[in-house]
Amino acid sequence: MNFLLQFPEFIRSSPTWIRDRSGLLSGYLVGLTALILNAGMLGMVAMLIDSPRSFRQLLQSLDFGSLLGLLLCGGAIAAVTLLVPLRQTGLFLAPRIGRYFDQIVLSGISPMRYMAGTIVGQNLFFALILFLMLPWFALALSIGGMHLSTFLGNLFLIWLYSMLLAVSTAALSLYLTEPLAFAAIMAGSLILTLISILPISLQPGLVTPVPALMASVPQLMMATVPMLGSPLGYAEIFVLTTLCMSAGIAVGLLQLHFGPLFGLIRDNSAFGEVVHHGDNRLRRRFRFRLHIQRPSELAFFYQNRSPLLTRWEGLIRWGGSLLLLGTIAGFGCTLLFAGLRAILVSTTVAQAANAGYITAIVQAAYVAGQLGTAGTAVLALLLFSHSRSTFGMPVSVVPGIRLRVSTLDWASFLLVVGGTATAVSLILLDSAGPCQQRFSVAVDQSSDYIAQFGRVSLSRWAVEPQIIVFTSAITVYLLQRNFCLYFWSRLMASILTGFLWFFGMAVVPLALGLMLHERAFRIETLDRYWELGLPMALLSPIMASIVRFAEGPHNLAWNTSLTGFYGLNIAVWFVLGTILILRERRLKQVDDAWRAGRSGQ
Amino acid sequence: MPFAIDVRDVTRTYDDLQAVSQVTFALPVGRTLGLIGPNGAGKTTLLRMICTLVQPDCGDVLVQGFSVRHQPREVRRRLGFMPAEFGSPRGVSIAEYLEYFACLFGLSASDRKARIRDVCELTELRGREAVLVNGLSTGNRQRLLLAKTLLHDPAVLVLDEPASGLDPRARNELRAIIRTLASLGKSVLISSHILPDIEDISDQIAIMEAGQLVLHGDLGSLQQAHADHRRSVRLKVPEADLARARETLLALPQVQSCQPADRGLSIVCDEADTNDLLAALLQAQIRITFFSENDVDLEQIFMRTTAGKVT
Repeated sequence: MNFLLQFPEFIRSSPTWIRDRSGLLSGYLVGLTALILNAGMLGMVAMLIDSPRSFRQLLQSLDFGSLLGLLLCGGAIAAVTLLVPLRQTGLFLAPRIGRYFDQIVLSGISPMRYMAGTIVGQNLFFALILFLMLPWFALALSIGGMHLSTFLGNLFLIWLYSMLLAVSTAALSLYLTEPLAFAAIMAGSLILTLISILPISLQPGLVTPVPALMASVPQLMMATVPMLGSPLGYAEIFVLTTLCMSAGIAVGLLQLHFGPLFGLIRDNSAFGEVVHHGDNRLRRRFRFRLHIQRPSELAFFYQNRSPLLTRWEGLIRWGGSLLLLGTIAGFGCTLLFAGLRAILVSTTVAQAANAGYITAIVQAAYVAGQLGTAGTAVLALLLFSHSRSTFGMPVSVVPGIRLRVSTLDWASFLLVVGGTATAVSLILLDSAGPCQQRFSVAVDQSSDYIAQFGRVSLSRWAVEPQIIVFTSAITVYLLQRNFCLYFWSRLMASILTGFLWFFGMAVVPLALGLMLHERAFRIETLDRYWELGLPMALLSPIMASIVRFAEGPHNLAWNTSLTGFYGLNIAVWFVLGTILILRERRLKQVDDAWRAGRSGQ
Repeated sequence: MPFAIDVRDVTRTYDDLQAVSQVTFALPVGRTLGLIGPNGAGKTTLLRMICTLVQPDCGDVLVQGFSVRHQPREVRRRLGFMPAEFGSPRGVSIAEYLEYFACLFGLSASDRKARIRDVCELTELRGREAVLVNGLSTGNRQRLLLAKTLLHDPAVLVLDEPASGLDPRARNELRAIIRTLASLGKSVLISSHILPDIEDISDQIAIMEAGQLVLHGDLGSLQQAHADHRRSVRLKVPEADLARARETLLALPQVQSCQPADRGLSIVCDEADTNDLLAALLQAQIRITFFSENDVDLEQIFMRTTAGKVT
């Protein structure tokens, strides 16, 4: 209650609100917004006209009022998607370029109050958009076609969407330079908008107003793509979209409150620029977070933030990331499970007799399972590895318990990747029996290849490729963690890790092994060892997976032993683990020495 | 005596470069301290440590009793920092600039107007509130920076090179403003290269060289300590007589050195009656056009205590 009473003053005293308020009244911005709004609507009309048949169908089934209402809301969504993130850029970069970021830090303002003004300022901007579209709205409503409540509901969702975009762009700006954050948000919005029109029941596009907009005119969906008819009504979609967007805004606000997770580092020049030992211009270009890297800027987020919830920071940060990755992985698993079930239920024995059909389906499902786990591992690797400035930072997980960032990273990575691999294995195991049954029908009238393929154990297929992915994920993670302790940029470490693992552990053994096996070197001394070619190729996770899917060379059975692959990975774990422990110990000594108030290096 | 700023044995290293090394001094409440030193002496690093923008590797700084290491938010509330470099949002007027920073400092809507009016009055920016910041002269920019620094009424002011790039009139006006602030009870730490300015407004002096504090104390007592029973004399004679005058003076037992300087001679002699010097010159029939005895000024103290080393 107290907060609600103070809220107007909180906003009125926000410096960014003061700046935005004066900026919004400029003729330039009003003109630009009007231009982009009209361009958005015209773009939608052009897309419709470009497809005359659909357009004719649409005109037959829709009255002009509905069409105009749709175009207006669509235009507003397009304008908001482009302009809101664009207006957020410069939140941190402008003070940095204008050389007054230090003054902001010294003012003692909390990061949340600093950013809240800009986010709330988007309301003014939204009001400007409504104002510019007012005559069109009046026209659309007066000629009918869309009910007033539906129309207002759509506007509410577009407003909520603009808030979500503003918060997300600001939150992403903590980790990326603002133009990159803008590009990422634009790309994300576009992908989600496209997904929104897909006929899937578990709809990630609910964080955009597009599904609700489509549901607001049922005739539209029936006329354009009849199969897109949604089982949910407008009211249900409206509520779900509101909940999803509100959750997104809450997550973004928490992110803004806690700030970026970067430890303060002692390296910087006399004038505050971050200059690491041996730094040069080329290296600086590869820093993707150019605007928040000086200790004073990081201090802004740690020292000026309010103490609210900070004792739960670890749980909220890592728990939130786990929840995010878990949702993505869970979404993938659900799709896989539902897809396999649907196919198995609908495939008759007669269809299954067509060996090529069932082979393709089962192969696709199993490969999708493996790729899904690998994709989750890549995301987990990016989320749960931190650079040398941060790995040793103690974080309060829950009141009374503080853990180091590296410990939380390890636990989260193993939990997510292990959990996903286990879930995918269980789903595939669940369908292994029925699939195997259909195989036995298919194999009777098949070719040699299908016959060989039919002999594989699908239960083993369900589990072992997941173990291969998990093993490789641990190797990649250890490599990444090591590089993170040598580089200041996590992204640079990731690029190097990906490059080194892909070529060093996956491509080179595969290529060399196959070339040796095929005596491709044409060198007598080497050709003598051609028998070592395939075992060498099997060291590669690519070959290991291929063989398990019965797609390897003829003389390699699908159940060939992968001892070499596992042995190599365990040896690499041992070496990388030892280096990691030694390096962490060394950096901890330096860090402790500095924190204890002595000159560390 | 309570201290506004208490610097305790602070050290700061950048890679292999020790920018500030074991510096200790204190500024009593309500006094003005001038921090001087050659370029690269570590002044800016020291000021940034006092302002919480850089953390000391070791040692601590207390601002009104609050540690920059452990209570940076408290320090920020009590301290106003005027940086050497002017930074501003684009395309704002003086009033908008001040309102922006007043909001940053958390002043309520009702307090902002009064406070902005007061600081404009103090820094003589009143009546120019609508002028765009980008078009301001260097002098007015410095006034604006100072006005911004005063918005939240800090008890301690840290001014980094406030007179840099100003013409003599603007420097004079800025000195007057700083004197006014001191008279209002503010504790001021001011860093500058312009020694006469520092001498004019400071009660205390701290001299840094190569990251170390080489001298600190009250200006009066420092001048007394450096007087060291020697006298400094400036002499001007016609150019044709310059060599003869030098020979005559060097022949006197009380003259320690006699160097050509500024179309005349700069003489250092024992604490004896300087009439002997005049008598010797008149006896040699040398016409004297200028003769002056100098007190020990800040420049002399500075030159004597520093050796031109940089970090």
